[in-house]
Amino acid sequence: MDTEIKIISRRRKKYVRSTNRDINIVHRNPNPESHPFEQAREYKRALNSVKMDRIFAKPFLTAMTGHIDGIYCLERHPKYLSRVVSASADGEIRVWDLMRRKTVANVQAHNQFIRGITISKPNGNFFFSCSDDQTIKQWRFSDLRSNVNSEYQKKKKPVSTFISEETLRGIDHHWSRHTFVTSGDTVQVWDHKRSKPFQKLTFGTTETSSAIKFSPVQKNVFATAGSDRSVGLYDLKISTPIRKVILKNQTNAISWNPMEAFNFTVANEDQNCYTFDMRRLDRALCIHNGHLNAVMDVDYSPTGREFVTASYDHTIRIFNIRSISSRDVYHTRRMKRVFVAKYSGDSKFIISASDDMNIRLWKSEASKPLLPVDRKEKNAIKYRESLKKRYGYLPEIRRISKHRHLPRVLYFMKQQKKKSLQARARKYRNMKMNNPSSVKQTKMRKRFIVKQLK
Amino acid sequence: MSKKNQSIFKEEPITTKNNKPRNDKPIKSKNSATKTKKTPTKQNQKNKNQNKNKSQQKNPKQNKNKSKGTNKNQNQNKKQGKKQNQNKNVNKNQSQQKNTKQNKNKSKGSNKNQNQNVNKNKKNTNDKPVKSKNSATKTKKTPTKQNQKKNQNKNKSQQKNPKNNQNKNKNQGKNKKQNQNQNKKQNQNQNKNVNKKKNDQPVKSKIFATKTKKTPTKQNQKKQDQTKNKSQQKNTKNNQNKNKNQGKNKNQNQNQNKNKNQGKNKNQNKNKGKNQNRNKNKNNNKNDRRTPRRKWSQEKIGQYKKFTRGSGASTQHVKDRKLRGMMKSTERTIRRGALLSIKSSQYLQEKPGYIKVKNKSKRTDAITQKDIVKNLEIGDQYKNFELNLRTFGPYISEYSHNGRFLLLAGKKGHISLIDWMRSNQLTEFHVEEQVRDVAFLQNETLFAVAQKKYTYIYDNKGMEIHELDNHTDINRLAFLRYHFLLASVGNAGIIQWQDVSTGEIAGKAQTKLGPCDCMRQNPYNAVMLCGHIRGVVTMWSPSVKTPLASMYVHKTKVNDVAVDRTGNYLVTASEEVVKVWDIRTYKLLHQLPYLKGVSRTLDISQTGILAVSEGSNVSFWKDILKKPKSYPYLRDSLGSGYIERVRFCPYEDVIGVAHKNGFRSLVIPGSGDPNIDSFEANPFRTLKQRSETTVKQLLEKLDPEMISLDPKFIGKVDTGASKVRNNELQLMEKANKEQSLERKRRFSKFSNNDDDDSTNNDQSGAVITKKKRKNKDKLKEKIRKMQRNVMDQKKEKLINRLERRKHRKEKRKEKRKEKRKNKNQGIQKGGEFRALNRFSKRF
Repeated sequence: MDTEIKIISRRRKKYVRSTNRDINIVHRNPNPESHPFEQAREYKRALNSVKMDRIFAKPFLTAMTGHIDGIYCLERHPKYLSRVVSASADGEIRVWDLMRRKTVANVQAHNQFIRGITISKPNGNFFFSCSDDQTIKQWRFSDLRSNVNSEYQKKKKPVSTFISEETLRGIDHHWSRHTFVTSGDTVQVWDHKRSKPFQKLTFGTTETSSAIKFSPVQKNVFATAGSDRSVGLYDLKISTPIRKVILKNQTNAISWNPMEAFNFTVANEDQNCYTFDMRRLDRALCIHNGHLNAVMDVDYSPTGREFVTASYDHTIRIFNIRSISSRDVYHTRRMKRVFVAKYSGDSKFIISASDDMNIRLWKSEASKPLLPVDRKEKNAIKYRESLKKRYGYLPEIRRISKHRHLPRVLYFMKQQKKKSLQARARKYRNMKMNNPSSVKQTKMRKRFIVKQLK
Repeated sequence: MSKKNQSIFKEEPITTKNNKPRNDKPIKSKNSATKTKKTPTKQNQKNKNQNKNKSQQKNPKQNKNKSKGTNKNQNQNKKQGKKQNQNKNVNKNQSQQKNTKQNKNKSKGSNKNQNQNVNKNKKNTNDKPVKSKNSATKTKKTPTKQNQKKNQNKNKSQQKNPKNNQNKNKNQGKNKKQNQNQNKKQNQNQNKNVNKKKNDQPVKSKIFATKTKKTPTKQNQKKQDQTKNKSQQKNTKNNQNKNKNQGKNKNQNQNQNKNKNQGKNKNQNKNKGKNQNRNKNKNNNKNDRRTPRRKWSQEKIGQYKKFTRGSGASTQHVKDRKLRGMMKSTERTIRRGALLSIKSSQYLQEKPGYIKVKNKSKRTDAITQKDIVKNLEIGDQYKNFELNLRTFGPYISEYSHNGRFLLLAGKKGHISLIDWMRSNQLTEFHVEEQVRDVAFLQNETLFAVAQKKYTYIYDNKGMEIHELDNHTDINRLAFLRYHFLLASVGNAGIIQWQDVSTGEIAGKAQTKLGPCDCMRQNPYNAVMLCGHIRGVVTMWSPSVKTPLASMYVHKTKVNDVAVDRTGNYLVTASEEVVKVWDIRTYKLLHQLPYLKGVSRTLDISQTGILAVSEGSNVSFWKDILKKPKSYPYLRDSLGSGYIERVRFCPYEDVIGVAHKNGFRSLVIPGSGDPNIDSFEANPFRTLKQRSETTVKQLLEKLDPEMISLDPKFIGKVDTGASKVRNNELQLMEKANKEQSLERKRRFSKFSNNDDDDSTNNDQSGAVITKKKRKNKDKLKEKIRKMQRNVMDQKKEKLINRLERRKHRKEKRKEKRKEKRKNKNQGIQKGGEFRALNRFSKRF
């Protein structure tokens, strides 16, 4: 033969599985010509996955009851993921097991309002509570572990009690040493073994500090929030305050970024959170807005990429550390003013405590499945994520992914806030136009700062 | 030595390939130009040529200089040829010839352009050609591969040091004037300077060339001459240097130099390691865009270009660091993805079909179906079959999108659904009505039939599912798979899209070009193409009421149109001619050389084979879309009757020819896409897979609004909007300008006619505008503001003041007038008129 002819000839074996129990044989051809409308179809897939995200967004897991007064303090255990300690206004402290969603131990620790709770680090054998009765009590977890309603309760006694000469507003434990600090009229530094504070730190003014927080990275540095609307920084090594910045409104809580050593975020009374660089307090790195009432608490995720805020407006919001607006907002009808919100140690859950005497457990990512997913599904999720990332800027997708339901009251509050902000901006613009000398130009990131002290 | 050299020589073409393009960007562009020419898309070619021309225009001076240099070189070469052994030149040129293997077939002109291109784009235009030459020559010296690499790096680094280059040039300049002795000395100086070493290179390379001995055939010589000239154009100064040396030096001397240098080069390479690496990194950064690597084969480069899907975005001008980083990382992932898909496409199971004729004088179109079938394996012979269906003809046929099912419809009402691969008839029925067209819907379970009055949808059992009474008197049907739209056009000349999943009419448009019986979809962008009686082809999208584009393609009626899979080419058939068009430019490319009969129908296969019916004959044209052909790839004939419809079977080397008396399935090797993608079209899919894919298809159903000429608009920045905005801005500006001009005109009027108001009023009577006061007079204003009917002391005072001022003004005017008079008379107030006064005082 002087010609050689070949045509496509497909063997069935290559294309069809041999038995019904076998998996189907799949062939891929990466040639773009055999995949028409690539972009359009990917866009549609991205749209679908965004819609699916909204459909499956069910973040609320459970509410845990037990306290008989509003809960104002909550701390997660540094070692055990499921252990959480909470304290309510009536002086009761409860230890929770999140997995069983139950109280493991409880104790009537104080007779007055408990202002702060902290767990000793790094082992986490003890926890400390400070109260309006000017005492700090040290408790051992193993002492409390018994039946909740048994008579042993009366026998549950603190390991030691520290009596302070001043009022106590907050407490935090050092991340590695046997040291803890309390805030109040002055900042007092305590040791486990000493009955009296071995150090007292003050800026020399008469403010009372409330929130107090050690940096998890630079372990000797801690920040306080004062009643003179200040945020102050201290260093245990040099035993003097470092610097202080006074804001326009009071700060309610402070949280340090566990991954970026010098960044911390403060929860402010003016409905915003501000992320600061410790080295430059004259301007914020980022302003996070979205809450419609005072922000009561802020806590960083262990990953350092996100933080959660609790607010007086009955909601929790999750922020990306670099973004102005929140990624998500959680609320339920029964949840009232939220005073504490904390990330769990694996960053998958959020624990909130509110005025309504309940502790609530949330998923940190609303639509993520909790159960383990197999490889195929994992890949599918990954693919969807990348599609969302790629087409996330397109208006329809952005609209759907950003949309969050808010309770009626909050929705109208939001509208109002928007209006008032717009009006203010308009006024500012007009003033700038008509009488430029009357307007002092300051950047948004500096506007809320009154002054900085060193 | 000679052996060694030869071996080096063999490696040399590879190395030079690697080296040259790596050196600098402009060279890259050159190379890419050469590569793309082998697999050209026309646009690319055009663009590149344009670029070349532009850049040429930019540096006319440099070009001139260069051309002078080249002339010299040529002359010198001629002399050499006479004086010295021919072998020298020949061998040298052979190496160059290898370098330019890719360019072999190209005309001289194009090569010139390339060379110029190389030179133009560089900053130091004069230096660069030298450099590139160096890179080539250097590798010759150091034959081991490692060294070669090092040399490449070194060259890069050297290029980046402008100082070095300058020095080098100076040296070269000297060399020109002085003779070979100087060169020698420099060689002996052990190349402490990079610059000095560079000077030696041409010498060395020359030696190398001279060493190997090959006697050229005449043909080779010609080519060599050509290539020689070309390459020497590149190396203007260097070559001059070289040539001089050649003229005077004897081979032995040169060899000595070379040997010395070889030893020293290695050391230098080691020392330069750090710099090299740094420079290498820099170069990598420059390679941000999706440019293929030089060392790849042509095929791989082609694939890479296909998989990267475009040239990518340049990040150089992006100021935002964060954005730039993001862009870079996405580019990186795209590049990585392209490489991965190249890799995965190496493992594709099937190879495309082909016909190889061993006797080259024999044309493939002489091969008949009988011959083909004989050659096939027994298992494949079923693909060629014939159905004699005389009663209900003429027949039309349609394949399902995965190629497994065949729908046959006789115009007199016979409909049959066949699983042709297993020769299994799924259903057969008679509608007892005229059938005009059939179309598969999303899969083989549903198909639409355009009957005498209405259009109906049947399932694979032959049951009527729907009667589409809004599609009346329909001639052609088409189903847009990804949009779930059934498109129809009929004698009313109305094109209509109906969503099959929801039943909504997605779009309706009047063609206003009379009854239409020719409609196909563009598989690339789902735009419908209608061929009309007046010889016009119109393109339609459901969201637009008017055609997106219309082309006047034939003088007579358009019988059929077809668009290839890439969406680049359109083929139209009228009774006499079949034309190939480029849709991107809407231009005619060429037409088929002849037709044996009336062409009623045509189709383009997945691989781009065109099937054209010619009365009772059908011809198949391979590669016709890109360039004209004088004879077809294959042909077939019915003998009698006429062909009603030809349709290629997707993913198979088969075409279905439906004709007056039945149906014929022909084997056309190389017509189908050999490799299926199971998620796109799977002929072997199970029932479960079918239902799953249907669900997925529905989920991913595209909106009818997404149909546009460019289906890739979704990922892109909407430049259209900005264009519109810019236009508006321009309009605004223009309008404002006019306004301001008018205002100016008016002002000028006022200023001219300031003295007498009466004329002013007359002229500006038409325009009702407030007279603007140019110079505000406070006094006048005050008076004006006061009440007119009241005369008080204040006003009187003011009026008095005004009058006094007027008086003063008049006086001043008079004085000025006097002055002027005096001046004209040559009399000056201050004294006598003197010639020197002009230096001290103004007058």
